[in-house]
Amino acid sequence: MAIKDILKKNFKILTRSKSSGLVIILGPLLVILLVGLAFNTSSTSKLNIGVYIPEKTELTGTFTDVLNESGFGVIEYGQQEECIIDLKQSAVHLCMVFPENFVIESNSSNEILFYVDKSRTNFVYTIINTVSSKVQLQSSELSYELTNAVINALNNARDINSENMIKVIKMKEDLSSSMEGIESVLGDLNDLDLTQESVGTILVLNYAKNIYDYAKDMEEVMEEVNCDSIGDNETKELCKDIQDEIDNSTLTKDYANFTGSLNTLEQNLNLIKTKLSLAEAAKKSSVSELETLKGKVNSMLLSIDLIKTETEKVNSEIESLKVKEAKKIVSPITTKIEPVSSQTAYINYLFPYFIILIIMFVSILLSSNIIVMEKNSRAFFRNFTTPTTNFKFFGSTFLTNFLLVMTQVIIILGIVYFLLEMNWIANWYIVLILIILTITLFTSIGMIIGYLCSSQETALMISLGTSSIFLLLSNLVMPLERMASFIQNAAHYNPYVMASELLKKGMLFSLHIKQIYFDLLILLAIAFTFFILAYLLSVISKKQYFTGFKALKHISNGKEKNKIFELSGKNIENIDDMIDEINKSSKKEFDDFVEDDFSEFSLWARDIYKNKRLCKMLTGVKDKEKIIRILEEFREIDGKKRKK
Amino acid sequence: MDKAVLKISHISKSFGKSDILKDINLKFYPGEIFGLIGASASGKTTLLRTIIGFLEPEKGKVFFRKEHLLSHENGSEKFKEVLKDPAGIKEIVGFAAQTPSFYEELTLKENLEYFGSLYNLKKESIASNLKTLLGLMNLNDSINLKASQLSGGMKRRLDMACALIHDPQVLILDEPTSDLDPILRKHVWELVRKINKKGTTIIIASHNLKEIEEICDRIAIIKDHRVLKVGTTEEIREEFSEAEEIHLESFPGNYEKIMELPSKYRKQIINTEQKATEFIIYTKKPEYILHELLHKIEKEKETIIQLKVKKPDLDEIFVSLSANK
Repeated sequence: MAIKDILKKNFKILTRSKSSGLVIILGPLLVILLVGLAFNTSSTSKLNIGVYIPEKTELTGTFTDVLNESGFGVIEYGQQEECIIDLKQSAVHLCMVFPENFVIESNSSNEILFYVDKSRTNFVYTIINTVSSKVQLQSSELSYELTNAVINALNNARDINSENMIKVIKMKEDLSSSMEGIESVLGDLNDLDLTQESVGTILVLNYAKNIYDYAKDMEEVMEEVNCDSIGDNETKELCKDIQDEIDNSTLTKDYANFTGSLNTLEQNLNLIKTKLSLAEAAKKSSVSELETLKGKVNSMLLSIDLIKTETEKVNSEIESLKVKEAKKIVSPITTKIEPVSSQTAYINYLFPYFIILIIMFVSILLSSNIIVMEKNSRAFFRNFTTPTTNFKFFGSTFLTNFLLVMTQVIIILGIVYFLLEMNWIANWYIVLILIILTITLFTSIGMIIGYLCSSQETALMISLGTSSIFLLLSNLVMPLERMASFIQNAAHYNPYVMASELLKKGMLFSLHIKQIYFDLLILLAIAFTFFILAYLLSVISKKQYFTGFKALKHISNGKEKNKIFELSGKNIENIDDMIDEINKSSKKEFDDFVEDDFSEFSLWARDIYKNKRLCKMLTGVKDKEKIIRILEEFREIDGKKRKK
Repeated sequence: MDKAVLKISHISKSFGKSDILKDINLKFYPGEIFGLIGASASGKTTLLRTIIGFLEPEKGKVFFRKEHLLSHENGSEKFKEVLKDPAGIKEIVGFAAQTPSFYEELTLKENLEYFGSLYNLKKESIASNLKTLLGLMNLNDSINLKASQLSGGMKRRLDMACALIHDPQVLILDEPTSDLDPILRKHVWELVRKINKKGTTIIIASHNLKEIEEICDRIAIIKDHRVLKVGTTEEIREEFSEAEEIHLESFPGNYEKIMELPSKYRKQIINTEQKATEFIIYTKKPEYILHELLHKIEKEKETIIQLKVKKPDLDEIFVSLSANK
């Protein structure tokens, strides 16, 4: 019952202040709206790239076009220095300086110079990577084109080689055939006998003379034969025919003709002989020439064999190339980025970090603020005069924070579910467990801060400081991997890192509770520890409230050698300082010194200023103006006394 | 039979090396108005906070007894120790501190309802007590005003109403009139009387000793962290009035001349003091001094404007005691 009423009271107090109500309820919604608008995109962030191109070429145009198309703001500069100055003034995020004559030629320098502002440590590498990747992409495309040309040339060469190979084979066949022909001709030539055999014309002439002589003899004989004397008619006839023939023969003439012909024949034979000698000489020359030709043909055949072998080798090597596609040669290893979750916009990836960030900031700030507000509230004292236990007050304050933050988180989750179409419902129980744990953890931390601080300003500063440390030691600002190893190890136990990583696993990867139970248990243990710590501090804080911390400090120091009296952090030892400090002190600070039993100012006069009279004058006086007046009067009197 | 509603037995409390309370023994009876007076740092607030259990004494105990047990025959047997029943003491005691304690952002009604709920009262009881208190405190017209909008006097009344919302047997008031103007102070004391008339025991710690003297049935003087004396105003006055006072105001007021008395008279004078135009003579034999004084005034041709003899009031006794540290 009391808890319900305390909650009701807390909500009333928080909402009665319109400004705080707006901040508490609308603040986180506004933050998530802005974050949503800012990151609900999958495109490249708008980066301004300063470009200095000393000599414009088609290639530089390609690069600037690519950068423009990629969403970068490309600003061209006439001078390199202007670009660098703008980079220093953060007008551009990066300066790209192209070389002169930026073309793809073997003798041209193609180094693009990047100027970056390394003071932007969290961003510089992102810029370099983003722009480099675009440049690299363009460079790869150029490489691809060049390599493609080379590959095409190789393929063409291989095809021509293959065609030439047929010709070579044909040529070789022809040559071989020619060789055979040569060898045949050589054989024939060698077989050709042009030796001159001596023709015996004299012998013929002798034989012819002998035959002529015999014929003459025969004629003479026949002429002497009496054919009529021959009994046999037939033989007589025959004999008479013969004698007639002999009478009619042209033997001598024929003989003369014969010898004349034979002389002509001899002359002709001599001519032939001469020609044969010439032919023999020509044959020898031809054989020699053919032998030479044969040698050359043989050599050609060998060369053709060699050409064939080499060409075959070249073709074989071209064939043996495993990668013949230019794309694969340029990028033999390609990477494909496959998201492990189906989310697309940045907000989807960053949402777990943002929601925990909001929970962290709101929980810590709100709870510390409520605690300090309650502690500094006039009603704080009265609460303890009632039988309601401290745990109920503690629990109610915790619940107030918890319910407020939970409400905000539910609204945010609703918004992202319906407007950003982020499906966290699939793993809703893990999301819910994590959010409850996270709110508990950060609310406890905030309450601890609240119990430790005496003013809202201090609580606000420590809350912001603590939240900032948690944020700084996380992946959201700078990758943990860039930090020193011991910080990295410590950062893994950073509640913000733990909670956001777990929520990411639950929301984006839909991991089952069994897969994250160990981390979940650690988070639970941390949350529980902080919760207990916060409760213990609430008990201590209550005790301190009744014992009066400042007074206690003063009194315990009062008997020591070095006495201290601090009103607003300054050790006061003389009246002037005391008047100054009282004037400067807030009502709350002043009231702390006049509320309780210790009558701080009169005790100061007694123990530190060592003046019983002033102590007596200040005894029981609780009005600020009166105290100042007494001190001023005393200062005047004391001054006069001293002058005397 | 012990009829006390609260009993403090040999309480000692210190902060660090400083003793704040030393062997305090007190009893508070039903229906009485009890005044605690003492210098700053004498331990009054600490004592009040120890009574309600906010502070734990190093030595001694505080006991309380609920109303229905007051008439019990074996009363002393029925006392409960505060630290063993912290909720019990808070049920029977209402506490109003020096600074009004309530939520400025809540209305008067919301404050009373809220604090009523902290005493686990039923809604009906809260409504009934609220009605009574609003009438008693004359706050009916401001019921829906935010506490921050109330005047100083109304805030003080609201604070007392918050302390009384559970209709306690004992109301503790720590400096109830500090920072209030005389008219508001008068109203507060009237209110205290009204509350007391309902039968509520009231314990008041105050610096305003004149007012304490007027309102309290019994008084305890705390000095050097001990209870110096407990008793009625008259009892204390009797015990601590070492001297009576002759208050003289004359014209032209040449008091130095007047005081040039023979040595036998001067020996009877404990102290003299001039406060503005008034001259005060402290003596144990006022009649003896007065005779010679009148003679001297006549001789010096002074015109008497005022001459009176009185016993010192509580305030003066207190100052005197404080000065004699």
